[in-house]
Formats: sequence, structure tokens, C-alpha cells
Amino acid sequence: MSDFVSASAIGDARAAFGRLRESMARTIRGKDEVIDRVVICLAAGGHVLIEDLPGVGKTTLAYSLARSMDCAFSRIQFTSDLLPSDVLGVSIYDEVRREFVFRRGPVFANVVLADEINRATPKTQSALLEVMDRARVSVDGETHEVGKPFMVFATQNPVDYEGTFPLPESQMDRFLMRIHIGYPEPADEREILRGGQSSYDAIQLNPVVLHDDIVRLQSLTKEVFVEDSVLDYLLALVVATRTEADFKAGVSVRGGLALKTAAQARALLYGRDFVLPEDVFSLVEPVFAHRLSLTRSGGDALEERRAVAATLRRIVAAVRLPQ
Amino acid sequence: MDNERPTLDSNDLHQLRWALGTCLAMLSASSAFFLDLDVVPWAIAVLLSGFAVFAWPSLPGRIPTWGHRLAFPLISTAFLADLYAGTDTMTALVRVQLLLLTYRIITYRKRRDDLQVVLLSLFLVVLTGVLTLSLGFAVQLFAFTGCALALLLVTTLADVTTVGAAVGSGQSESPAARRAIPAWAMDVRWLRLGARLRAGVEWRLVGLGVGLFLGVVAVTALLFTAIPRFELGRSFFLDQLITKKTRTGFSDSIRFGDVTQIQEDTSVAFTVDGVSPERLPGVPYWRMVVLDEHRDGGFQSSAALRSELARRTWQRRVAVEGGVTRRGSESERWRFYLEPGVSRYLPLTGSFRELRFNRPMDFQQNIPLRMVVLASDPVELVGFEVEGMESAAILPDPVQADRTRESADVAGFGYWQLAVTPQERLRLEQWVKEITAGEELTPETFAVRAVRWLASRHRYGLESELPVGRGDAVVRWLEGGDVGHCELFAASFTLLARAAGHPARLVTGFKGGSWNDFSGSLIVRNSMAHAWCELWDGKGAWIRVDPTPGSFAVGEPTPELAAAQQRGRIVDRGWGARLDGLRVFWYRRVINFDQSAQLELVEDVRGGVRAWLAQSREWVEAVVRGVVDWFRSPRLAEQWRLIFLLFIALPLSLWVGLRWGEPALWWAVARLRGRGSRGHAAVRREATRWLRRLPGERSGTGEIPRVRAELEALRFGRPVDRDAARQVFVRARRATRGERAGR
Repeated sequence: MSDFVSASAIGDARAAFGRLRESMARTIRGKDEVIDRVVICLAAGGHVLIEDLPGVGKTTLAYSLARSMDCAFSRIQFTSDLLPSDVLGVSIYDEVRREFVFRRGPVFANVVLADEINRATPKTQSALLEVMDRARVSVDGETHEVGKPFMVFATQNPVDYEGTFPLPESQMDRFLMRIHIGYPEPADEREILRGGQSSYDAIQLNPVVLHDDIVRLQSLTKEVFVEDSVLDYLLALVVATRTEADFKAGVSVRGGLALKTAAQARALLYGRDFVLPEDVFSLVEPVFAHRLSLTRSGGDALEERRAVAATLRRIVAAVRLPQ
Repeated sequence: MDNERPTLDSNDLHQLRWALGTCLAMLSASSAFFLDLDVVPWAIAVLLSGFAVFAWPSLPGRIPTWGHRLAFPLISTAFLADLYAGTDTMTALVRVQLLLLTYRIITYRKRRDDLQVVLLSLFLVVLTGVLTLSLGFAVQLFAFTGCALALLLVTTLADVTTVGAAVGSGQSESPAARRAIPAWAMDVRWLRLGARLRAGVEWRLVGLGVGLFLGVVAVTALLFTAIPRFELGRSFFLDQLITKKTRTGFSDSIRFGDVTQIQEDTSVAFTVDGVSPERLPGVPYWRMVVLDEHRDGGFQSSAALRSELARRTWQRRVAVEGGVTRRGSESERWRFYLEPGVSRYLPLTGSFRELRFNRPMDFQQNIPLRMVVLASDPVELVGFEVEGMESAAILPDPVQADRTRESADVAGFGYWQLAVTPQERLRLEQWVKEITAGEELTPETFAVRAVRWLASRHRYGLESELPVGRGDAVVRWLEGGDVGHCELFAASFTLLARAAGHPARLVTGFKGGSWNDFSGSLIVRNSMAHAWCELWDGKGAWIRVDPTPGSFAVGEPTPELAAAQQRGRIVDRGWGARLDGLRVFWYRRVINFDQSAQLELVEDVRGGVRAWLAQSREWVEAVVRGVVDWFRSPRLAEQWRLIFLLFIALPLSLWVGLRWGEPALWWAVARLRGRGSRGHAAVRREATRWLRRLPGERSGTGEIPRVRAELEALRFGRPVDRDAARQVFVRARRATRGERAGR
């Protein structure tokens, strides 16, 4: 291994990831790839948009991650009458102290579950913009740090669009990945049924990774080496989305950076201090798909997502992997 | 990551298809240079177009739509204009082929266009082969077949892998569609394509394919030499489409012009094979045309002489009844390979017993004159074999012996004839008096004196100076000319001899030849074309008289002179001679007179194999004997050092070399390349190479996954110490070998 990232640091990181995955796998059965992607998002310091049908374990996934670390977890149920102050917090007048005191909202936690985020009004959704981007909240001219690490788990239902407000593109761009959980395999579902655990509140998990370990992992991720040819490959993918006629617009610079960081996190997850083209290749779809929309958009959102994914796969297949 | 061999995508295949098609067209166009047709500028156009599209692959996209609209009408018009202008049908056909190829090269070809290129190219290559029978044809056909097979394979693959039928399948035929740049041509980079081919192609499979191809070629070659020939040229009626002009101007009449062009033409006129150099005269005279009639200032074969040419249709042989026998060499057979376009008169040195062609021919023969004339100027190589050929300077003619001057004149033979004015005749008689000094001379003595007299008054030169004036050209030249070529000297002598009362005739053909040491054959070139005379000795034979200065010859040379001429024979030993030798070798294979050649070949092969086996056995026995003797040697004890070297040091060094040699070699190459010594690029390149070679699984705890991870770290990780890299490569080599051995 190189002098830049010590072998022991890599070993520690791999061990921490291993514990985290193992802990989460106890509650999320048969979804190793989903767990891996969530862990990658955590290491990359990104946020996750989980888009799936109700009842497949979106909340459980977020909760099990939070419980596996000694981090604060909060859940916000987004509704159409939810106000930004309900998310961020509000300054109220303290009679005793005779001054305005900031009362922190539920966003002040390490892992925040924004459930059914598309049910809130755009105004409330936008309130999350700054906090997702900079991990801090500005209210009445004061800035409040939300904590470190900070990760937003947003969920939305792709089918039931009645009374919802689709997320604006600027907000979509702030999610590192969009992932689908999907139904479990029959054998795994049988185990879930046998357990009889229905509420995530009942999940009993002990922290296996400390708060400081997570911060260290996130800082280590940035040091993972990306060789020029891999960087060129990543760039070629980004450029290909911009020249593809089927897409309204290509992936932003932020999107490219997101893919790079995610690939670095994946390399670390597998105990490497360098990125392989395979790291980039395997993460293109979850990192890019939600940032792209079709030129000729159809009425059905599910159909559009499938078309975007298919076009993306075609592009990825056309770009040559570095040898 | 997928470290398997990269798969060539649709774009790669289309680019490869395009490159192969262009190569094929250029290859076949280059065959036009071998043809003796006026098509060289057209062939150059094809080659330049090919180079242009290789240099600028976007060029076809820049051709305007109207260019595509006009292409075929223009090509058709050019073809019709060619025919209208009286160009040979064959020349016009080849030109239109080349124009079509040029157009196909500078367009983005669809599948159907590629097939057209294959057909056009095949036509050109076969045409060249049939017309020239050259060795180059065999090489070209070999290259063509390989290239065409590869093109057809790639065309099929490209169509299979193309997603969507619009690309490469040729549905759209409009000129605008032809101008449109297809997706595969958007970014053509030949070097990249080459690199991807190198990386992506399964070379073992390619090797197998090439091996099979070579095997088929070898079997075909064997069959080709072992079975009788198939006359492809006859099947195509190619000879009817071309009119060949003879450069040397051999015909049944001559005019006295400038012969510089002939003398500068050093191309091969014919080759004589199977002749032993010691039996061949030092300066052979190859008789072709006998001209007896003096008319209109020139010489020609008289109607009587021509009528004596007996017509033979579709026959293979000319046999002389009770034929002559060459002294001491009854069975010697000379094989002649007469190049196309030289003459329809066959070169013969004199009497012969039998002449055979390699195939049935239409021809005429006159045995007393020793002349054989083909029905038309051959457009392809003519092979014939002559048995018992004589090269004597004295040509017996019993028919002429029985002929009187009156009977000859009545019959129309021109041996005594002088078509000159009375004044000119008077002048000729005055010169004869000068030559004879009023004496009654025998024909031989007259010939000697006349030749000397001519040489004293005239000089030899290619650019003859005919004085301006009226009347007979030869008399004018005798009167006032200075420089003259062989035809003028020969014609002058003939007129003088006739004026002196001796029957004489002019003969044209070739004189001399250069010996090719590589093929063991005599090569006669067009520049050796010559004219001389034959003088009737009054007894029953024609004596050869060569009055041209530098070639003085009357009758047979003295033995000393003959020996000197043999010693002085030109011998070709340069690179040109090697090529000529190859050409003769090729002719020996393709020109077949009977089955003996095949039997000879089979015997040769069998004898060669037996000889090789016997030699090998002898060599092995000698080595074994040597080793046994060495072991029995009393000095064995002193040679322990040698034993140590042989049995310990050598194997040890071999093992070390194999163990460490490969990475060291790589390292040396990397350093030589320069980039490796400056950066990490060489390490990455080498790691890529090993990643491709590394077999087996990607995950797990075995040796292969571990080495793979190390190689990936070298390839994509941070630069590392070179020695560490070398260790990884050593492990990779070991793992690869271990895996192969395990299998």
C-alpha cells in the first residue's frame, strides 16, 4: 500500500465497514447491495433518496444505520401542511431570559429520515437545501451546525403521486444516490415473517461504529487515489450524458464529483486505497439516474425512470473501460 | 472491474471493414501496373484515394451531394467515350473498373458496396494473372484471398453486431444518405483501432485461421503443380478484347526508321530454358521473319513466300518429317517463354526436329524457311518447346536448290529482285564493281568483301541518317548516308548481293542473349532485336551474313572465335537477374507441356525428402559417434570442467534466465522506451498486460485473486517502487504458469 493511506488505516476502515454492514444486515435481510450503497453514501458524506413502494423497509434501513452508530436519529414525516420551521427549528421569545432563543428542529440530528419528502410543499422542501448542502441551518441571521456526520434519508413513493410536489432538479442534484430497495427474496421474506417484527422502534441494535470513526472514514475516503485513466473514464461518462440527445440536460459538475467520491468510498469499502474503473462503473446508475430527465417525457413517472436507466446503461456500455 | 479481453464494438468492426475494403481496392489497383495497358493514371487515382481516406477518414463526408449524383453517370460516360474513341475494349473495361474502385474508396461503403469492391478487385487480379502469368500474380492472389476473406468475415460480424438495421446494411441509397457520415466514421483513429485490435483479438484463433488458410494455400499449390492446367484465359476470351502492339515492330515488312526506342527497351522478350550453355553458340541468332521482296523502299515477305506458310488450326505440334538431328544432343529440348506483345513470329535458331506448344494453337509453318507464325499477336505468354534445335549459320534449303531464277520470279519469290530505277541499278552495279574489283567471286568471298566495303563507308548508330531525296531509301543511304542501324546495313548488303547476282534475303529477329546464372536460362531482351541477311551459296544452303559493324559474321565463326564468343557471353548476376530467375521458375510451374513436369516434381520432392532423411540420419549418427568417442577418451578426467558447465552451470543459468529473465527483459524494454524510466507509465502498461494474461477467478483467497489485486494496485494505484512492481510481475508470471499447469 502507499505512503499516503496507511495499511492499518485501510484495515481499520474495512473492519468498521464490515461491522456496519453486518449490523444492518440483521434487520435488512437479503439486501446487501442496498446496504453497501447506503454505507458508501455515508462514507462519501452524501444523502440518499430512497424511492420505493411503502412497506419495503425504507424507514427501517435508515433507522438501522442510525442505531448501528452512536449517532442521533430523527424522523420527519413530510405532509403538505408542514412548515420550514417545523423542519429546521424556530426562534421563540424566552420570557425568562427576555430574548429570542432558537429551538432546534428535527433536522438537528446525524441521521435524518425525511419520510415522503414529496408530500411537503416546495417551500418546505427548499428548507432542506442549505442543510443538505452545508450541514448547517441559518435562521434569523444565525447559523447553527447540525452535526457531523450528517446524512439525510429521504423517501418517496414513485407510484402514488396524488397531492404530491415533485422534487425540484436542484434538490435532486443534492442527493448522492437514488436507490431502490425492492421486495425481498421469498426466503428472506419468510425469515422476516417468522421474526414478527413490525415496527422499527422495536429494532434492538447496539452501536458498532463510533461517531468519530465515521468522521475518520469520511476524511479517509477523500484520500483514496484516483488514477488519471479512471478519471478520464469518469469524465467520458459525464460528457456522454451531456451529448446524449435523449436527455434534457447532462449531469452537472456536482454529479461528476459525486460519482468520484462515491467510487472512492466504494474502493475504501473493499479495502483499497485506489479506485478501480469497476467502482465507477457500478455506481453510475444510482448516482446519475435521478439527475437526468428525458427530452420527451411521458406521463408515467415509472416508465420515465426505466427509460432513463436504459439510456444510461447504453451510454455506459458505449464508453470503454480503461485497461 | 472487467479485466477480460476487450470486445470490439460495432464501431471498431465497421472501421476495420472500411480499412480492409480500402486495402483490397488498393491491392487490386496496384495489379494494373503489371498490365501493359494504358491505365496507370487510373490506378494511381485509386491508390491516392486510398491514401487520402486513410489520412483523412472524414473525407467522404465532404463530398457534396451532387458529386454522388453525378458519379455513376460520369463513369458510364467515360466508359462509353473510351469505347467511342477506339480504345481497346479491355483497356476501357479496366479503366471503368478502376474508376468504380476510386468512387467506392471515397464513399462510406455499405455491405453491398463492399461486396462490389471484392468482385471488382477479383476481376482485376484475375485479369492481371491471366494476361501476365507473372509471379506477382501469385503473390497478389495470395494477398487478395486473405484480405477478401477477412473483409467478408468482418462485414458479416459488423452487420451482426450493429444495433438497428440502418447502419451498414445499405437500405438508404440516396446521394444525400451517402454523404451522411455514419456513426462509426465520426471518430476514426487508426492507431487506436490497431491498439484495440491488438488487445481485443484472440490471437490464437487468428493464428489458427491463418494456419488453416496457409494450409489450404499449400494444398492448392500442390494440386496446382500436380494436375493439368485449366486455361482460364481461354475461358474468358480475353484475347479477343485486346489488341497488342508489338514494340519491336516484327511484322512481314520493314521500313527504315529510327530504332532508338527499341534499343532502349530492355524488358524481356523471351526466355530460353533447358538449354546447356556450352552447347549454345556464344552469339545465337534468333530468326523470326524472312523478308525477300524489295518493294516501295522497304522489304517484305513476298506473297509467294507467305503462301508457302502452311496453315495449321488448333494443333499442338510442328514436326519436321525425317527431322534434323542436332549433333551430339539428340534429346535436348529448349523451352521458350515468349512474352506477350513481342511478336507472333516465333524465335528459332535454325532447323529443328519438333516444336510443341503448351496448348493447341492456330499457326502457320514453313519448314524450309524455319518459320512458325502464330495466327495473331499473342496477348498472353506463349510457351513452346523445341527439340533438336540447330544453331548453324548454314541453312540447307533443298527446295531453293531446285528452283531456277526464272521459276522463282514466275512464282513471285523476291530473292533476286531489285525494285530500283535503272539509274539506281547502275549505281548498285558500280558499287558491286568496287567490291569485287571486277573479279568473279564466290558468294562467301563476295559477302566478306561487301561487308568490309560497307563498314569502310558507313558507321553504326541507332539514329540513322537517311539523306533527303527521292528514290530507294537504301540506295540513298548507300550513296550519301553515314550512320545507320542494322536494318540499313542488312538491306544494303541484300541489294548489293542481288546486284552482284547472288540471291539474298533479309532476316529479322534477335541476336545474342544474357545468361541467367540463377535460373540456368538464357534471357533475350527487346533491345537485342536485330536484322541480318542470308545469302544463297549456289549449292543448296543459305549462309548467314551479318553486315552490321561490330557483328561481322559470314557463315560459321572459326572455332577460336566461337570459343571467344562463348567466354564473352553476358552473364546476369544482379538483383534484376534474381527476379528474372524467379520469373523463369514461375514459368516452369505454370507452363506445362506434358505430364513429365508433374512427375519430375513429385520425383524431386520424394528424392529431396529421402536425401534429407539420409543426411539427418548421418548427422545423428555422427553426433552419437562423437559423444561416444568423447566419453571413451582418456582425457575425460581433464574435462570435468566442461562436464560441470554442460550439466550444472548451463541448466542452472537457463533456469535463472527463465525465472528472472522475463521481468528483467520487460524492465530493459521499459527503460529503452524512456517513458518507463521517467514515470510510472511503463509499470502501468506492464500491469495491464499481466491483468489481461492472468486467468481464473477474481475473488477468493487463492493466489490468482491476490496477484490480481496487486496488479490492479500497480495499474490503478499510486506509483510504487519499481522493484516492488517487478516482484509483483514475477508473482504474476508464476501464478499464470501455475494456473496453466494446474489445468
